[in-house]
Amino acid sequence: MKFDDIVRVTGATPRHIRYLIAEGFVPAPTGGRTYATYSDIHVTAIRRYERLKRLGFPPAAIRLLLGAKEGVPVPVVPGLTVVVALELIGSTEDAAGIARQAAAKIEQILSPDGVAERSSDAG
Amino acid sequence: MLVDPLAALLRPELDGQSALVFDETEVVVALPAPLAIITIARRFTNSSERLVEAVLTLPPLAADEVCYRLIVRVGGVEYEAAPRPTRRARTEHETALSQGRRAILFELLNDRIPLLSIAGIEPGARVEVIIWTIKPLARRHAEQATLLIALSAATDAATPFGLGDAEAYVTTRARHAASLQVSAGALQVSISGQPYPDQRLEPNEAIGVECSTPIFLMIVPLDGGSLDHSEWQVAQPGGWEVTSERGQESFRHSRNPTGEVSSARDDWIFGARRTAAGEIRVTAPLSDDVVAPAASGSPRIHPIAPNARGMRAFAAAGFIEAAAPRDAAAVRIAANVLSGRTSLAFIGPEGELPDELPTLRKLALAEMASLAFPNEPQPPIAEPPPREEDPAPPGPALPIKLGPQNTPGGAAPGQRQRAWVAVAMVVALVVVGVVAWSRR
Repeated sequence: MKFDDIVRVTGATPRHIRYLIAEGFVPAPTGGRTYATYSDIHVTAIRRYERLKRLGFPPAAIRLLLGAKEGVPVPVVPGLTVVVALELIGSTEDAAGIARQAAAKIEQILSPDGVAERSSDAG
Repeated sequence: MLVDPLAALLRPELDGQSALVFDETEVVVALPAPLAIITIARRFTNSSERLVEAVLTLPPLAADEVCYRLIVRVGGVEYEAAPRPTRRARTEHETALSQGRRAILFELLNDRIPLLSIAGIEPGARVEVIIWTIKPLARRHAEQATLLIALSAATDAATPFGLGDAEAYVTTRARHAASLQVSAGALQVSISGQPYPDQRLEPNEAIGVECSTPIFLMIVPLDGGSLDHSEWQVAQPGGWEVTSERGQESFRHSRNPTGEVSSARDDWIFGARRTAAGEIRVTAPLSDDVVAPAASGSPRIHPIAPNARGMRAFAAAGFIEAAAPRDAAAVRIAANVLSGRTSLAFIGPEGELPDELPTLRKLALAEMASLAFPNEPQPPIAEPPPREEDPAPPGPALPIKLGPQNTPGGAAPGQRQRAWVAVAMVVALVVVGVVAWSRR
């Protein structure tokens, strides 16, 4: 799609899109100036930025979140946020196994025994 | 290893494109009191290896400040921006940018924030941006006026103005000095609030100022000077006159039928604005060139008077009448007034630039270092009422916490301690006195 199309699809202003491209939040178009072409990758990147912005993250934080080498907080439900640090996890091939371990851990924490244990620790 | 989930959010730095910074800033102030014309020239260099679009968000315009002229020089070539309706100007700017043309857009965001975009700056090119504004002097009292000029921005200034990320202020803590030059006629001007001792300014002599601290000028009239009236051959085509509500307007027109100067000139417009410093009335020429009859009978073209463009802009912003019937919107366009509805723009020819999309780069203003300058005072609307008696202080909003050291009606601990010391000194004096008396 052309620049006008991506402006229309995302609802972002042209200057804002140019800013996002210049700052590396959105990849540059392919095809040079004359045949500049944008795709769903650009739309997704712009929407991802806007979503994080609406959550209150400043540009510096968004940059770090998108290129996170530290833990990225991922809210699951109110009261539970999972911190994902890909650098520490290393390979993501066993994502299902990691998820099973996480689920078991959460079940253990939220079980009556787990809650009682944490209450006594806190008290 | 512990992972801090908030670490990413607590880092202040933006590791993206570094902002462009100014090499030089020059501020020139003319004081046709009760107005001030401020010309700021800023220079920077495209230090990158790419074609760039430089975006500069300027400090907000002051109340009643009118921005009316922009000249940009890129690599020594001068481009003067012309007025266009805001939406059309923005569309044309975007189109020109995608076509690889040089494009300059100066617009007013939220009716207060000037934003400049200069697209098509070649690598290594030196750029000069010159902006003209006119605004009323603030009046401390009848014989003193003040002028505040901000060259910096606070780092969090975008938030209160609701600017988007592309338009938000970018600041730098790097020191940036500017030069200041004031031409004031029969007025004495001194500068205050800078990190240097206050000093009196010599006419047309440049001094150094720090951009991080606003420039604060105090102005008083010398013999023959006036803070309330200035003019330049108002009876002649191309001339102008400005008067505060304390001054005496001389040009005769339907809103000033008692004016002592009557003239056949047909190029004038008249405007009045109710400002914080009172009403200011301006008569100014509408066009840039004035056609006047010569002695031989053939018309001759004269340039308009110095400062007439600024006067025209101020008159247009408060347009009331003209020598010939005029539409207010058309007058504002003719006067180059930057507003929420009118932007200043320039579009270059096709094929002038390389086949490359420019990269957006912000231009950084100096970070506002201090607000420790005297605030520009609000003009007295009326004398404050005489204070007969200070009212009793209001009672506490929350109940007083009672305790051994805080009993209603009791003295504060410090006061009690001081009372004990006084009693002890009195007792000691009495004892000394008694001992001295008994030894007699």
